[in-house]
Amino acid sequence: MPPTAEFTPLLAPFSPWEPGALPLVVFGAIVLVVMAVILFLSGFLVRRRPTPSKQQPYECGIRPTGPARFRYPVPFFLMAVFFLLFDVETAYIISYAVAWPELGLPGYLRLAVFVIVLGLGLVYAWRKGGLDWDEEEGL
Amino acid sequence: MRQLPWLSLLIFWPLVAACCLPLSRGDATACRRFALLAALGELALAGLIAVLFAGPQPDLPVIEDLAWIPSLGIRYSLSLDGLSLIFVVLTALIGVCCMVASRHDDAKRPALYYALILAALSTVQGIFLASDLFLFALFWEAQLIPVFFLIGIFGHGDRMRVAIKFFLFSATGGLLMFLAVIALGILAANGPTGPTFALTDLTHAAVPVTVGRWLFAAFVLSFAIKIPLVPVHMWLPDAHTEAPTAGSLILAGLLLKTGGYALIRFALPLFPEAAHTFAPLLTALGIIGLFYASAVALAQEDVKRLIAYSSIGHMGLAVAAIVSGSRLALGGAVVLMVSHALTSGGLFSLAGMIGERLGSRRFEILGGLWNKAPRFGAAFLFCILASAALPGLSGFVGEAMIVFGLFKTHIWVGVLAVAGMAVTLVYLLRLARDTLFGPARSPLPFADLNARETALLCALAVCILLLGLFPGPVLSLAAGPLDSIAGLVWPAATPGL
Amino acid sequence: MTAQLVLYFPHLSLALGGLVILLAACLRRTPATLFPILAGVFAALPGLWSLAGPTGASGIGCYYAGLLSVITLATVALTARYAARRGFAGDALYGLVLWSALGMLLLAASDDWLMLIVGLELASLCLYAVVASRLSDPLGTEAALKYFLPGAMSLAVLVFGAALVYAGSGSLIIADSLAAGGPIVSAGLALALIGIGFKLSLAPVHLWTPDVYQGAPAPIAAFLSTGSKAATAAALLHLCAEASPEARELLWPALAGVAGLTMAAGNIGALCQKSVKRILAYSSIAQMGYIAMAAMAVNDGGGEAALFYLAAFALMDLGAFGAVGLLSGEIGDRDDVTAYQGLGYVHPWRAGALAISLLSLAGLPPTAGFIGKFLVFGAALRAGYVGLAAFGIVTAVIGIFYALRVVAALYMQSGVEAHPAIPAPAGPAGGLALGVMAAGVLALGLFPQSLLGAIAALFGGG
Repeated sequence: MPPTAEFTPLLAPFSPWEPGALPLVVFGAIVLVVMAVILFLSGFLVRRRPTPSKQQPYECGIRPTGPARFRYPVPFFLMAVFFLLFDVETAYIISYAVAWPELGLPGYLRLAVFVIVLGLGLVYAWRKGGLDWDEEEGL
Repeated sequence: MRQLPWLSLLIFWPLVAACCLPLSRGDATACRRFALLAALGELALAGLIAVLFAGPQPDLPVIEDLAWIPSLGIRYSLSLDGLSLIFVVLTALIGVCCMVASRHDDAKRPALYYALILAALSTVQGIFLASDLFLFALFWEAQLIPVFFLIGIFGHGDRMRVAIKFFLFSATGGLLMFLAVIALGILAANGPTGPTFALTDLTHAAVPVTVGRWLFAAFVLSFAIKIPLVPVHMWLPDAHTEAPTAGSLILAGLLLKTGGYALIRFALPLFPEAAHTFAPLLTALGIIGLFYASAVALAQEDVKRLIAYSSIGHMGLAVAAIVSGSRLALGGAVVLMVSHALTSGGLFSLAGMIGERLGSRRFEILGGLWNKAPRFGAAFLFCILASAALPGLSGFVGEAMIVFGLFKTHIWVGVLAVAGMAVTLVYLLRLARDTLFGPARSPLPFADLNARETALLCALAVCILLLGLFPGPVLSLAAGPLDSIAGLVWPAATPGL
Repeated sequence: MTAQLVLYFPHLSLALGGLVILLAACLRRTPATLFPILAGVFAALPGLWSLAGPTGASGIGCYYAGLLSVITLATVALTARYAARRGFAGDALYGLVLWSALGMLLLAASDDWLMLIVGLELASLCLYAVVASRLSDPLGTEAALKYFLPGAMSLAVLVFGAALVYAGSGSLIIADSLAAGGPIVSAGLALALIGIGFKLSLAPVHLWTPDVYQGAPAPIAAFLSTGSKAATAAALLHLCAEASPEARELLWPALAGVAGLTMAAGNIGALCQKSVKRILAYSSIAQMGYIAMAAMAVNDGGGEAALFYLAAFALMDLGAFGAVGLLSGEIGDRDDVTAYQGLGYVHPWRAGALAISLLSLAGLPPTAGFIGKFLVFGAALRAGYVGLAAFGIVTAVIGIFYALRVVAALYMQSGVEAHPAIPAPAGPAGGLALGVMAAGVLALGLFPQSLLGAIAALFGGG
């Protein structure tokens, strides 16, 4: 679409042959080639002599124990998620408050619905034990 | 009386009966009796229709036409003319034969066994009656399902693999034909009739020549697999070997005939130009099939497999006759197909009886049955002779007409056909020699035919004799439709017999 | 105000339904059987709304309200007893299912890029959690993760695409922005289609599908493969219908390749599978290839064909996965093909529903799949994609093979003794839903005119 008076596309047509883009293309090509060479050589040159200790997963030198799939409580993580949720909601409410004069009563009602639903969510999380710190069987 | 929906009744009566069968709760005797009654009812229905509409006051074709999917121009439209009537009666007759053919195969689940046979009858009737291409394609695909289960559940040996092989072969062709039907509908939708799948409208649709050839190829591939023509025949011997007796009867008696019928009814009038182009190829394949199948049949060690290969040979001859361009050969092909359904039906039933009595159908344990079981031997010899086209029996009428017709149009094809028939004799005589005559190669006892089996074979023999001695009614029934088809495809050819 | 309330009634009822269920869970002494009942009631409301034929609603919104209502209702019915017997029923499960349906509805009927993204994300986020709802099952957790990572990736691609379209056209309305044309819009559309292709599991980005369907509980897999697929396919149809001729010229060859590859990958991939759920997953991939083919022909009747096919596909996949769920023992889903041997005679009704669904997936008459294939291939031929249609038919033959393998196991092999896992009781709702699905597959196959007529009426005959 040709640029019109009221709207101009944000991006100029992108061409790999324009001076601005050429280094990027060359750089990308070099990266790919170097990566391919390194991967190929490391597979081609190396002679594999596997031993049990070599085949262990690398855990910074510590001997791995137990299965990798187990559950452990992360209550702090849960708190962080709740905080994030309610933190984002304040951003909404503040931006609404700034526009208070224009929005009037309909805007108020809409935000009220939003806050009520949010409150219900908090009640639900509470009842389900999401706010209990030491419970492993929380949410 | 004539206002009843006779054609729908023909299609749905077996289906309804099939749905009622589970009510017998696995009681084998009740199932057999009910299924036999249902099949007899179907035969009576077909006979009644024949008397009503083709009797003293002929009123063919009978047509039923209802809107089904109007937005796509698809109609539930059935039509019964003389050609259809022949095959409809044949289907009902073979259906009755299936019901009495075996008392061994149905032991596992009698209700399911007979329900599947009835469902197969219903779909085959649908193919013979449909005059809307979509409806035809639907029945064409649907007929595979009951036969698939019939072979897969009640067959012998490696039945599951064989059933899937049968289904895949047929479905490949069926789906390509399905695509061709859609394409044809789209081409015709721009015409004066609007979206339509009616055969009569599509016959006059303007199809570009190249497109027409492709579509014809798709149709014929599907029919060739079902007939089966030679390069795509591999499913048939396996399917026959493992199928229960009734399954073989349906395969040889009905499914193969749907292929030939569809070739005459749909492929030729829809694409006359392409039919001319492909006729040499199809003739060549048919004649090659005749020789090839005879050669392979000669090497078989299993009675049923031998008969299966003989089917390929006979149907190859029929295809060569259908596309030959001779009106006489076309009529002969119809008679040959009917005759083949009867004779191979008899042969397959007898082969099934051998398998039931001896547990194997290999030639190495046969021989000398003529002395052990004279009635069985007589029936077997009769069917072999009918298959070998002995004058006076049904095979002769068809083959004689075909040979005369072929000699008129392509003399070399006629010569080859005669040579092929001579080769046919070789393996048929070998079949007779190794089963009936010579020294008995196994000491096993062989019970003669019981009353049920005698009745079945007598009925078939009477039909074979009637068709052989008085082919007139069948020929005159088929004459009208065949004339119009031949007139469409070969306008220059000589009309009439 | 009232008009708007009527217009957004389905959305409101689904959103409120989820809330009500969660609130009910907060009250003391709520019987556990109440949740599926509540979910069923709220899921049925959009369907009733679309039957009433509200004025002012868009055709696609109306159609999808009805379709998603049926899907959700069937899912809830199939899940109810299944989840209760296996100890993962709860308020969250049903609430999330309803909200996910809300997301699908938004996605299907969106006119706006942002609504499309929000709807897709709402539907997916809820589904991630629902897939993992059986906490004790490591496969389910793995499935959720495998669903989440490609999902997040696809969302990123989709958002980037939408951003490019906006950058190139200056509009967020889908129709306006795509009509603008230009290379940037085309590039954005391509990225958006890739993002949608992820969700729709079009090849070569389909690899997550079998793992997820295998890991998810069977009724949930049914919901995944029908609801989410149907809604995403609606978005695909919408984008394809609005694409400018210039973008078509650029993208359609690639889309044709993708559609062909998807049919081949789905059908060939299913050949060697030993797990029924994986077979069904691959078959649903293949079906999406047919949908993609119809989407290319969207302006030649492919849209109507695809909508019909989606409804038919929803019925048959709900039937197939539902039957797998109802045939399963209490421990895990009945998954191995050999575990289905001889079930046709032991549980004739459930196995019969499975067989009918499989035959329909294979596109055999007299089922809905046959008519669906007819419509879809008809649209492709009318739009001139003859080669693609012929290729699709060939792959459909392969599709018949693996469907027959399962059917053959059901009826042609005996071996129930080897796999004695007795199915858990189905429950009246589950049995009823399965019966309705199987009957619906047959009814749509024999009398497709009712649905075709409805689609034609909703879209003004063209």
